[in-house]
Amino acid sequence: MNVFVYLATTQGPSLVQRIIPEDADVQSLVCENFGYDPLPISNGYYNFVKKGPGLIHKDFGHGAFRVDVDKAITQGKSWQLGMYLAHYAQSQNVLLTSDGSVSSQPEAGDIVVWATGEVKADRQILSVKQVAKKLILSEPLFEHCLSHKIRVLTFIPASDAEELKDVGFANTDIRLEHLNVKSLGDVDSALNELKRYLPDQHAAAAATESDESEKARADVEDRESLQNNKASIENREGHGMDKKPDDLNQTDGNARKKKSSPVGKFVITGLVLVALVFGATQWLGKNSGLPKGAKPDVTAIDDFGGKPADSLDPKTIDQVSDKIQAVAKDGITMVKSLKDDVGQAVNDLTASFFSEGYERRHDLQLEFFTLDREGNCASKGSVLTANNFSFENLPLDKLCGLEILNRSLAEHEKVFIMSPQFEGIIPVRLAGGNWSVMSPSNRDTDKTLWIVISQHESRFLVEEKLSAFLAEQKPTADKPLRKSELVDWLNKKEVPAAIYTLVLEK
Amino acid sequence: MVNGPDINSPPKDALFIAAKGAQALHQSVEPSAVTLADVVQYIRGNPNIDVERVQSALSQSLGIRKLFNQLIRTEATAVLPKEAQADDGVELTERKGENFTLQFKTSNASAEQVYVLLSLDQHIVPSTDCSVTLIVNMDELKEKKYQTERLVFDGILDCKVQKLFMRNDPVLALLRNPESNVLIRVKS
Repeated sequence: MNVFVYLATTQGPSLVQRIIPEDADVQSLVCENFGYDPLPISNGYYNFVKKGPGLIHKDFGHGAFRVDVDKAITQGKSWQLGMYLAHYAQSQNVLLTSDGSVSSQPEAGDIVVWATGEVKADRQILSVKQVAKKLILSEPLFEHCLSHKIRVLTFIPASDAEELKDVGFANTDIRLEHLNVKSLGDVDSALNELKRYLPDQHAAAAATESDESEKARADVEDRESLQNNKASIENREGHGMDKKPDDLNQTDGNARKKKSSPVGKFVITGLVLVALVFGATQWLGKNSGLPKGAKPDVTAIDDFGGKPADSLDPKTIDQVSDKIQAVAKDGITMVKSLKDDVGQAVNDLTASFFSEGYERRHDLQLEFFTLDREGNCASKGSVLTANNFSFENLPLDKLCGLEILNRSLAEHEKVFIMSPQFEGIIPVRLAGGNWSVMSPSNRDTDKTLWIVISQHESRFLVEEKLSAFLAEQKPTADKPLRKSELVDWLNKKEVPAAIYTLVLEK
Repeated sequence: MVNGPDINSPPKDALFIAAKGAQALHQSVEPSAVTLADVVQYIRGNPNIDVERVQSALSQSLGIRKLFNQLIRTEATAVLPKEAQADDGVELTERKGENFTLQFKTSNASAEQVYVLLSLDQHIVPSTDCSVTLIVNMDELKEKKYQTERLVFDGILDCKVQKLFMRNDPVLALLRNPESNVLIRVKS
């Protein structure tokens, strides 16, 4: 059984003949019929694949491929959905892999995937043009498939479903019902649909993955990223889709991934979290802002600056892992019950700072740390309580750390910190039960922080969504985000969260 | 006048016509037809010039070659002069010039295809939308043979560009030859 993936174009369907992993420093490319001239979409494909922003590297753990297609594709991005599905099939060793020596025609028992759709970094499938025309141009392919009893799966963007209402095939009696048309809003739905039709050994795994796909995606990390100690936000994008055991048979060493054991998975997750803290010194600076010779209270404010991830205390890693494991269980249930309890009590003003479906009944509290005369970073018991989702401004001078107090959080609530002026998530870590954040090293200007509280079951998923939002908006000090934009976006992504503002004054 | 020699003409006339024809053919690729502007455009990566004509002129005319060498010294962003290397029969996998590196990688998809990866140091890449011209040339003194080839890359991705060659491509052989000079010109 082979999966034949056809990328729909306005010149007819183009078959993915093979996907071959190349060495990591090769730039991914698409060629026609095993030739050596890259097609014009190669640059776009390179960006779709590459480590960092590329969805393919993120989900399949490798960032350089050569793809051959049987007909040239010269422009547009509608190839992305089909290419993504082809990569999935390749990762499962079921994609057609032709070397051009024999004709590549699907036969009985094969599966034909026909797809069109642009895929965004946040995994949404965007509308594309001329879906109806692309379908009609594929009539001979469909006719071949149906006459040979080959299953056809047709993937289109949800927003283009309307366009198919009047599609009719002129030369055959093919109807849309024969084509298993799936109109979908995001790649995960498309993937789950595809998995349903794969052979038994894949379907069994798919059923499990379908239930846990988001959690799994959040839990698996990219070892390579960790080893390189590039633990910034960019590296978080290296987390792969949970892989099945047969991934071990992949031919490319770089693309190999083992399915983590449950314990190992969480330890790895913890390592990634710790690594994220380390890497975000981009924002915070390697220097935590302490004067020379100052000794911060490392139990309260742990400055990871310069520490390689693998030298971190295993106890710390376990602590983080345990916390993640605990909160992953029933966060959503808690959100629902909270919502019922609070009900009408939430007034319009506060609601404007919530994304839909999330209310809090605690006032958020934070403790701040300052440098004393000896240069030690310590708290004098200075606790601030939020009022109307804002904290009193804090002076940056002598500030050396902040902690969101656990006692002001509901069970399973997680803390995320971002800035409307900066494209990146600011790292927080658990220290002594509280969520700790370092103070910024650059104190030349005022800093605005947004403290986002969410009970979403997957911390990594929320971080991923927030990162995608920031990457899309690209906020800067000159072009800061508005809170309403974040609220709208979180609502759209169905991430229940409350957002607090804290201004650090220079 | 009919095309071709008149079969009724005496042999001497037929020979004269053939000789004139041959001369005309030769004149159509006369190196002197290449102008200074052509050489400049060749170096600058202009796709709208007759590349083969310029390369032919460079291989045949010492004067044009001198001109070319003078121009390229001022136009090149980075150079990799020919290297002294013991010939151990092993194909080069990398050549490192000032501010750039050339790597040669066999494709995992086909052993017959080889990637040439050109990595540029960041400081010589002004922007992602600039183009890169690579000129490789070699003067084989013993054989009195001069070869030059040009590759033009549009758009730089992460300070890298690449081209895929068939293993037996003479341009690839020239690039891999340690006795060839490689010159890079980056144009924003």
